[in-house]
Amino acid sequence: MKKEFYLSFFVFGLTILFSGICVAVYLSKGKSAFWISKKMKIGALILSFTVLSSGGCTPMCYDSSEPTEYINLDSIENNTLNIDLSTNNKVTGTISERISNEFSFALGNISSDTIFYQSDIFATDGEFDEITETFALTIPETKNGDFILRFYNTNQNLQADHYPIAEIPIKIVHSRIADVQN
Amino acid sequence: MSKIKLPLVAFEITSICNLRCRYCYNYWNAPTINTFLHFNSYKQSIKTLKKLFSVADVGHMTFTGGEPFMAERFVETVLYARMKKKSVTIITNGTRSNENSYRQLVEIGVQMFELPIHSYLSDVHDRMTNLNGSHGKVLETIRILSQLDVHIVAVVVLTKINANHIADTLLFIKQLGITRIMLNRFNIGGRGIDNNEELQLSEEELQTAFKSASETALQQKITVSSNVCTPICILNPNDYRGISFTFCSADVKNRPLTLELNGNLRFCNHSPVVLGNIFTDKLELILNNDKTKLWEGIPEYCVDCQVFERCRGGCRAASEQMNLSAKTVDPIIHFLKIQREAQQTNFKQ
Ligand code: SF4
Ligand code: SF4
Repeated sequence: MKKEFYLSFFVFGLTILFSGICVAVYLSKGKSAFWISKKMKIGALILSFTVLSSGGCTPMCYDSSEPTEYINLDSIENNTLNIDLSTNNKVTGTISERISNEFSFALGNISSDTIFYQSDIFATDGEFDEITETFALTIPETKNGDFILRFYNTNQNLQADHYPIAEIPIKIVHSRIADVQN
Repeated sequence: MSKIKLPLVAFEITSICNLRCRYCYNYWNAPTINTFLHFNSYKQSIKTLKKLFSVADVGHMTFTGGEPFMAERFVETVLYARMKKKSVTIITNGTRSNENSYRQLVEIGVQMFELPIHSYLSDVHDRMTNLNGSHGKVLETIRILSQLDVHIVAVVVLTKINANHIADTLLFIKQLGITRIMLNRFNIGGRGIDNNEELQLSEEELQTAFKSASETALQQKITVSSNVCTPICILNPNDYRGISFTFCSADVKNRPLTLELNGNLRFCNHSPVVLGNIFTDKLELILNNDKTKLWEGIPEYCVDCQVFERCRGGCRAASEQMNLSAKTVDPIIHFLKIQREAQQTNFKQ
């Protein structure tokens, strides 16, 4: 009985610690590898004890009611964005449920999973400050082929530390042969 | 009110993936899908899981995608599920994470990882996943996981590209220390629709490969299961004693119900049809609505079949992927019939 009491007390302490770490993770916007690793460690410890002490309390730092950002592009066909660089290098679309005020994109090779171009995305009205924003981006001169276009809710310099919020296969062609840069 | 018991829910935590597997069944990769709404959000994951756990008593969670390791703050989301006392399996392509994340996941009690190994030949595997080097990466992941004392299940998708050396592939997997293998025939859907001709085996090729796999499994004591429901009139389990076959349950609650990030609930991960949304519809109603009831019907093709109760017409989610109703028999019947007719015509000529 005594053992169970101390165990519950210990788990309670861990739970308080866990909640504190969750706050640190939250303040770092989930970007601090240090705090995330602490969160996982203490989480693992709580889990190992809650198997022993039935009915251990569940930390509540996960509550969230914020929306998520969605990207819709204007001209998608067969789940692919087709771009003829001989006639147009602009891609337009809409971001709904916007939270971030910076967005960027990356263009990469599908076959090697590598990125070869990054750039910021600009709101049509100059600033990402409304719930729904239209935007335009420019596809750089690229040889014909199938690529991947990834979207980030951060500027281009911070992409490496962030996850893409959306992606779409993109097929690049040049209808005028003279334009092909192969 | 008591919660509805769901033994297993597959959670598609993100639709994003770094691979472009030729056989990928994810419905959003189907050539007919024109809308673009790929998803990836930690906040939304937690919100959706929280909602799920408030309406259902879920036993086991399988995290899938897309590639789950592409999901924002994936390990933290899994921790949330574990804190809610769910057992967890992760289906990953094995090319996107690192030792630290795997270790963290194992420490919080993730019990099983499922990874693809389509061939012992790296070029064959890479051709199927469409990424050079993916074979090497998945082998490295297996090496890491093997040291972490966790169950590893190898998944082989059987196609025209890898079927002729299936026995060698099973042996290779065994040598890696894995003794549990899912041997799944290519099941049309998603990106696989466009690649059907390149991937779909003929009836004879399919049966030969399963024979070879079954014999190898028995000789080598490897646990091999076929987890894509396949019409018994095409693969009869009695002919492949070394392989255990699973079939679709008629009871929707015993299905691998699949939850999307936005709360949409589907019959299984192969089915593209949304039964309802847990944020807007009552779970009880979702599980008993007309779309769900369609699965109870008998496809015309199977009306007189003695084994319907077990087979249930194969994978009818594949029918849905082909824009047919869930009351239509597995489209593999149709493909193999066409192939057979073509062979007969050639023979006559
Ligand atoms: S099958 Fe899996 S790994 Fe391959 S592209 Fe589809 S989601 Fe990605
Ligand atoms: S139920 Fe239908 S698909 Fe299955 S064995 Fe019978 S006829 Fe074939």
